[in-house]
Amino acid sequence: MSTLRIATQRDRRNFQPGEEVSGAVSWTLEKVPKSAEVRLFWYTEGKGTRDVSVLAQQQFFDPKASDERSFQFTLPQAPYSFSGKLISLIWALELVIEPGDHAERIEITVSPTGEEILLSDIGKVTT
Amino acid sequence: MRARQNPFRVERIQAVPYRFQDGICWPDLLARLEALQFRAAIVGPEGSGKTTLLEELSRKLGGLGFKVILCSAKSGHAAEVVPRRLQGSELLLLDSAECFGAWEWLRLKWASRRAAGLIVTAHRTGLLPTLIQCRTTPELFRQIVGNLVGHEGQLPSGMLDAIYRKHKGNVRNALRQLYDGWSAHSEVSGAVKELDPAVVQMQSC
Amino acid sequence: MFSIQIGSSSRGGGGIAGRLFGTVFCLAFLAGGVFFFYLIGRDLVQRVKPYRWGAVPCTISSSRVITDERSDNRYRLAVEYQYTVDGRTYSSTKVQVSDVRSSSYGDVLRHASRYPPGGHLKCFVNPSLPEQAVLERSSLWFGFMLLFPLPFIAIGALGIVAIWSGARITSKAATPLSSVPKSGAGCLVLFFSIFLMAGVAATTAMLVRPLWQVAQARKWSAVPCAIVSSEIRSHSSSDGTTYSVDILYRYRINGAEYRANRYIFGAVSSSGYNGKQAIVSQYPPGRMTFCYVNPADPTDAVLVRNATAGLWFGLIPLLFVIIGVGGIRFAIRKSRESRSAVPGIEAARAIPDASATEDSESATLKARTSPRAKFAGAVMIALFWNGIVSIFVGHLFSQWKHGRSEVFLTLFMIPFVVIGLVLIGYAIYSFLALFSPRVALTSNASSAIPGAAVQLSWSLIGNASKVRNLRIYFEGREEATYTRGTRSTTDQSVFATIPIKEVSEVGSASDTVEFVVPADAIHSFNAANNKIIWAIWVKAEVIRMPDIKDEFPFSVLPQPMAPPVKV
Repeated sequence: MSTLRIATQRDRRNFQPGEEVSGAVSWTLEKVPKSAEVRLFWYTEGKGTRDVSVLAQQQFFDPKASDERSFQFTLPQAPYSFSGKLISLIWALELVIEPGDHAERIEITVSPTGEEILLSDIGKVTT
Repeated sequence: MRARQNPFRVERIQAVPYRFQDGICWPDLLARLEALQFRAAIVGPEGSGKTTLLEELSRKLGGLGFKVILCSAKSGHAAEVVPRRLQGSELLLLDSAECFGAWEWLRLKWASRRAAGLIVTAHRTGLLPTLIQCRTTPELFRQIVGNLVGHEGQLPSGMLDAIYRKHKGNVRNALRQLYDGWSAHSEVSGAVKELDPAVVQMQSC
Repeated sequence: MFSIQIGSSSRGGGGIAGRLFGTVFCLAFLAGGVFFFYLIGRDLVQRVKPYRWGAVPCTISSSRVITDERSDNRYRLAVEYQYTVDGRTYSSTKVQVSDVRSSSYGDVLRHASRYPPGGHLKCFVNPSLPEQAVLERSSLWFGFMLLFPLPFIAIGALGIVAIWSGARITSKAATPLSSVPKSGAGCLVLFFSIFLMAGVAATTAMLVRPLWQVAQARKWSAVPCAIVSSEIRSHSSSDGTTYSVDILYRYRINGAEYRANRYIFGAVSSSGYNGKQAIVSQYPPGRMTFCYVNPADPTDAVLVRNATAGLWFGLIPLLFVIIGVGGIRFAIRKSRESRSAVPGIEAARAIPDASATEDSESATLKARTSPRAKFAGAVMIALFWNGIVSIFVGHLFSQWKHGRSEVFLTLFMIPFVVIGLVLIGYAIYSFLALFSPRVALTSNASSAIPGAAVQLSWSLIGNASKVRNLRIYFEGREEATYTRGTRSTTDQSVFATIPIKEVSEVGSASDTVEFVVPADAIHSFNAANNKIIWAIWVKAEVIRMPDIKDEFPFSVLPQPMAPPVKV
């Protein structure tokens, strides 16, 4: 049975643009994998078809069947994590191991305040 | 309500498993498919779950050892979907086969004549022997909605039936209307436990 | 969650007949490419040889331009020179490995002027065969020509391989969420780059260079000249026969006689024979006329120095430039959409601080769709639809007129006719909208960061007295597109509306207002299916005319980044 783990330092989930995100991944597989990497990406959820964009990836060379590695990324300026009525944009870190499409993912929040921006709180209608 | 919390968001709708009607189950379907020599069509109107069933069927057949190729006929060109003759171990599953004209359909059939099988989805019968006619019922719609909102949600069945009738059985569009209703209601009341029929009706206009 | 990427696959061959046809097609590319590669390579090898030969002093005995009627490049440089190797004297007439030829007498004459009779220069002698020598080593830039046959060789070879090895049909099982198909923008950029390069090269040769020469020739002096020969030369090719004018004339500068055969700048051969005949008739041999000579180079002359109508043909290659630039921009934009959906990450013209600087440049904001574009679109659609419908209506009318009642077809056509009438009505409405008063907006920037103050100047174009209830407001909205099978629907939801200006009676035709982008505003976002759009809306009622309803896109940029902080 395969187990994959990914975690940020001090299990932190809230970040600001431009900050560095670092952490560690570990896995235990039945066979030696061909490739293992961590990806920093965002994706959308909501009423529209999902969009996904991978901003950075860190490949681990010579992965073993059971291994533990560290990773580090610098977050870009944007986009921010936000949620509206139709669209939510979610940042995540994902450990991907091939073959077999093993994957483990954690979500993080990226915004100037460190919290997800709620579109409904922006510019209330005034008359 | 945040889009990611809406129980009717796209990712959740697309993850809804296909629900058989009339007591049919997977072994029955696979047996019928085998009897049709793996050349058959999944037929049904829009929003009746044809694509969902095709995707689940591809997993089942892959698990049985077939080399499954899942494609869409959206482009309208057989050469783009099947650029070469398929081999005997390959099974082609083609979504939206009605996008092909007569000539492209003939080209597709020729290219797949030696394949292990050809299963398509279509709005009408006639392309291939019918494997199953997908259809929806108000009861099915209520079940799907119930599964999406979970046991915490209470949705008046009368309202759901009205939405179902409005969309003429197109469950996909009906669920998308519920997306708006759920989202609007949470703005009004701040709660997600109930759906106000009046709010949903307002959204449906 | 189970997710399947339903993929379309790459193109490849069809049945046996198709494969054979494809193979023959690809073989033609491959053969042509290899053939030209061989020719260019062989020539290049010859050009390289003199670089290994030693330099030996030589004396020029004669240097002139010879006319060779057998070749299109009829003017050839003929130089004779002597040199001594190991005590023995040799004579050679080779200037370069291959003959120096040109259709321009002036070019060859200019080349000949480098080798005045009696001049002492150096030539390059083959150490193994001293009787072989050249005056000049040919340029090796020619080697870059080897690149041109390579795409043909690649198309031919790879095409054959693809046809017979079979294309892969891609079909993916469940994948990690972050697995996305790669953008093929690189191939598109390369493809359109070829268009661009070809267009630029042709435009330069056919338009830019001749126009520059025409401008330079304004300072040239008119010099009496005598026509030596005047004829039309024909050039046969697979596309047919084209003709060019070849008028040779002589003139004297500072006692020295020169010859040239340039008629106009940017001359090309074309299929019109009669026009060329008329030109040649004007310049019979022996006629005295004037030519224009470059004061800096007496070998550079022209009979007619004005820009001629033929230069308009130089605009045709601009089409390739437009296609190339447009295609490259499209490919790069598509690639960027997948990499960065946020404006301001690549480039921005924005207010850098929360308060705008006084000397910021103003920007005229452009409406998302202009009334002219709407009208043009409405007319085209109406013409297209009604054009087709009118064929059937005409047929029906003819049938009814001859007493043949086509009831079914008539009933069938009614909805189409109704739609056609609606389209005509909308085209008329769009036409009226052209004359409606409009609002022009200028701002001190077309994008801003949250919290920034934006100055907006609006002015009414047209009859302001007809305008009522003017509203200008700043709006943020979500747009989500859902695609399943062949269906695609887009939903919108407005999340922010910031009033800028509201007047019921529009007193003045222009004004300047200021609004502040909310400090907590989300930046604009543009992905393939999901978007956050900010825009300035201008709405107003117009008495007895279509109302004003214009949207001016406005980008909200992300906050400037703070220095990176280590976690």
